[in-house]
Amino acid sequence: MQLINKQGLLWLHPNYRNAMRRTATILLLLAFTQLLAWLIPASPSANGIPNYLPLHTLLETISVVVSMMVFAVGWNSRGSSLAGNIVLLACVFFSVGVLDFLHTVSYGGMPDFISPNDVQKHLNFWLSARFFAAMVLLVVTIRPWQPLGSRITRYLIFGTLLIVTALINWVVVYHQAWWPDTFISGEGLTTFKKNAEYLIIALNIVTAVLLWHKMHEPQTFNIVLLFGAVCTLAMSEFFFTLYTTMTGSYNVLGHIYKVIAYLFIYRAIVVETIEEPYNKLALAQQNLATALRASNTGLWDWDLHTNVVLYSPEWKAQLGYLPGELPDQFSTWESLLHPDDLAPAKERVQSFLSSSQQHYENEFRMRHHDGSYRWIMARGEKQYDDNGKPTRLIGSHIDITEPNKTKEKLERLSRAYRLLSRVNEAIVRAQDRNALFAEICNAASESTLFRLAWIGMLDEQTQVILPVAYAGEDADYISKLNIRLDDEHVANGPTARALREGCPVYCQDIEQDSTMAPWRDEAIKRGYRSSGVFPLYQAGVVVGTINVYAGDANIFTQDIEQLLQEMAADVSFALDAFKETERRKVAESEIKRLNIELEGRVQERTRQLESINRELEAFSYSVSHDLRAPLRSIDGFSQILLKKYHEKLDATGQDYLNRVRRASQRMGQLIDDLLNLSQVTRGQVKREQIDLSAIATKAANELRKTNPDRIVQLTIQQCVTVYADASLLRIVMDNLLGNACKYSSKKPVAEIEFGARDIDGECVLFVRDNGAGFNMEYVDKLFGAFQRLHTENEFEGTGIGLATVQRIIRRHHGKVWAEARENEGATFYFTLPQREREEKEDK
Amino acid sequence: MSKDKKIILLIEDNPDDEELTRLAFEESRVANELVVTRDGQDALDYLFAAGKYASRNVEEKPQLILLDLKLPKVDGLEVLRRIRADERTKILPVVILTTSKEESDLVASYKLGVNSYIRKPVDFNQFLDAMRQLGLYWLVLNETPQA
Repeated sequence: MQLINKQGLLWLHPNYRNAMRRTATILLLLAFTQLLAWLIPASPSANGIPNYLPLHTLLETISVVVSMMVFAVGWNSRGSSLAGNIVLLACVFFSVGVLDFLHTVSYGGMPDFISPNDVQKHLNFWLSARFFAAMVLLVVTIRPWQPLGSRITRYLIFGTLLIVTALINWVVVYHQAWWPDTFISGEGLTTFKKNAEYLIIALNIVTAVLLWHKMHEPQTFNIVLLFGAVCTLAMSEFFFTLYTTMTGSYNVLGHIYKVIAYLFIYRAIVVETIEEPYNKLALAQQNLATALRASNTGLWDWDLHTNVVLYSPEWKAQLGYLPGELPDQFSTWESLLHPDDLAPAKERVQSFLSSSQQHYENEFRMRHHDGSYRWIMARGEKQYDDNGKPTRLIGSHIDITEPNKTKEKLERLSRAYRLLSRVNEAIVRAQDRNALFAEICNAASESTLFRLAWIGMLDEQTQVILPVAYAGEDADYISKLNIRLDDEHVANGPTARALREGCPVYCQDIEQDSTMAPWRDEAIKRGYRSSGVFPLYQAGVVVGTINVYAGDANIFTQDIEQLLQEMAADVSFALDAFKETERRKVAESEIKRLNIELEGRVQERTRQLESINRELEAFSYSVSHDLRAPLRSIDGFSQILLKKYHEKLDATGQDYLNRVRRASQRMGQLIDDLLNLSQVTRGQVKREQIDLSAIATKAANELRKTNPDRIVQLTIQQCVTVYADASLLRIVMDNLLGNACKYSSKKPVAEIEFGARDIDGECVLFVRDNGAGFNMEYVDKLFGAFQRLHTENEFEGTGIGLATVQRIIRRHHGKVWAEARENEGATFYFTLPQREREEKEDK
Repeated sequence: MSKDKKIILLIEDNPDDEELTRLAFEESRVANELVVTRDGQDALDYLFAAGKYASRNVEEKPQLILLDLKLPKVDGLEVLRRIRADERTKILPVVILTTSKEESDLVASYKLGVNSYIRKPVDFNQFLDAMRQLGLYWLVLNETPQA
């Protein structure tokens, strides 16, 4: 409302400006004429027009005709959205027409109409009609522009108005006295008449203002013409307040204005109920046609009783036919269906008709005029008769060939992707070449991209391509192949070409491709329409091909080609990998064979060594046994000689016998040491955690007993534990401490020390003395058997002790070494690796 | 068993060793009769009154057997095994007197039930000492069942 206020009362909605301009022009013209007629003094002749009666009758007749036309048009208008206002207007104008007719026939000079005619009578009819018209226009303006409640309402309205009209007629004809006077001859119009006219004018003006007000917003009815009508009516009434004689010019002009106003109404009702709907329909039809053309939608309308099907021009155009071609029969559709789709499509229609479904949908291929097939999507709806039986089926056809093609392409591409992915999975899983080939063929056939897939390998010697794996429909096709490179007849086939040239070969249409000639009949028979061959490489050489056959022509698009080539490349890679694996297996088995051989040799050597060892053992056994016995005899009898035959020997003889005895004892010692040494080498090393300090203490105590008169300062570090063989370590300690004791014997106070020290993270054990020591130059000789750095006279010994020590330490995987200075003592070091390291070495 | 005849059976193939043993016992004043057999078979014949000893009273058992391991014909361990295998000689004290100090010999001897294992030293003084102790122990200190 605010908006309207701001825009002012004179503001009109743009929808009405043009129409208003035309109407306003007419109204201004009429108003100007009225002003002129009013201001310019009427010529005397105008007050008494001769022969006014026919003129009046003519004008009124026109007015009645227009009223009846309004009724006829308004009453006969139909449509669910027709506003009740129009029916009301039509009904009232029927009454207005009747009253105007009675007004006409009641005019003075006309034959009497039931009662005698006079001015009063015809003016009463007049006023009634005017009042009716003004009222209905006001009501129509006020009432919302809506349909009537029911069909009966219009008859009620019409009936009621007829009764009212009849009543008025009855009162006017029979009871004229009930009406006030309207005209007094010689005086002119009465005040009542004038006031009545003023009231009608007021009603019209109110209506006009209301209409104007409504024109601020778009309305659903033709408001401008109605506005024109009420304004003209108001002006017409104004004339009727002016005249003084019934035949004056004002009276004529008033009648003319009234006819113009009625024409406005007629025009309004015609526009509203006839022109506008037609325009709308035409526009809707035009839009529909445009939409159908734009969406390439064909329409069909099937009469189920007559089997006549109306096919729209678009329907026919879809299939390449002109509107005049193709009979409007159901059989037309059947005859154009693809043979494969005929049965399913018809079945779909039948099942739809027998079902309670409302919406029909179907997809099928139809033959185009050019022989190709088009994918059609049909949609439709049932129409029923009053009994609820379907009578018609109406629907549309849309050509979905192109979308289908795109869909198919995408589907193929996605299948090709899946195939590639499955082949790659197979490559990862496959154990050998044949298993992989079988899986590839299966994958290709199951992808539904191809009806058949086979893999052929070239036999170098015979130049024949041998199928090694296949999968798919009608695989016996493979037995018809017989491809060999040296046969001219077949050497140009795709497989042979791919093998020779090392690049993929596609046959987009087997029917057309001449290189497929030798196999064409067999291939077509099995429904193969296109094929692709992809070379397989191994170590850079073409060794075979993957061959695939599809049921449709031209499936090898660039995308699909790329994916399949990638697949072949992956398979080639796998072949190389298999070769490599095979090579490695051969190498491994060769290594295994050599290992076995080596092991055999080792065992043989071990046996030999063992037998040598046994011989050695036997030897040392003999040495121990057989060499000692004679020594004992030598020593024993020398002793007996010295004892029993003492007197018979001189001093020299006795000395010699003592020498014999010493020599034999020394030899006995030598033999014992040697036996010790060999035992150390042969026996098992039983390692355990042992207290080396305790062993050293025992050995030292033993030494004290055998050398009771020596002064020895002995230091033994306590709690030194090692992981070693206790009895062997006892021999080590005996030897090292014995040596220390022996070589320090010339010192007044011998100092001997045993201990352990950490050197570079390793536990090093040592035995130190302050004895004679030795020259480091000869350190190499130290640990050799029978090697001595001192003379027998200086220190007695066999030269086997340190050799034994070294053997024991080595058998513990340890090291032994010595540091010394002449006359300053010597230190013997050794290591005994711990458990872990030893176990590692054992492994 | 006769109390008068306390025989020591020496099984020894080496005449030097036999003589030295005899001397050692003499020095140690062991006065028992010393019967010497030269090889294993000879020893067994003696013990079981076979061969040239067939006329010998088998009940006259030696009080101590000194057994060398390295013997001609039947070796010392076999002799020991047979002694231990026969009820008549099973409980006789047997002392191995040998030059070998092979661990395997020691183990085998003890497994077969030897009573003592002595390695003959090269030094005659030590040998004397060993024989003296041996005589003292086995012939004087040690008690044997009367059966």
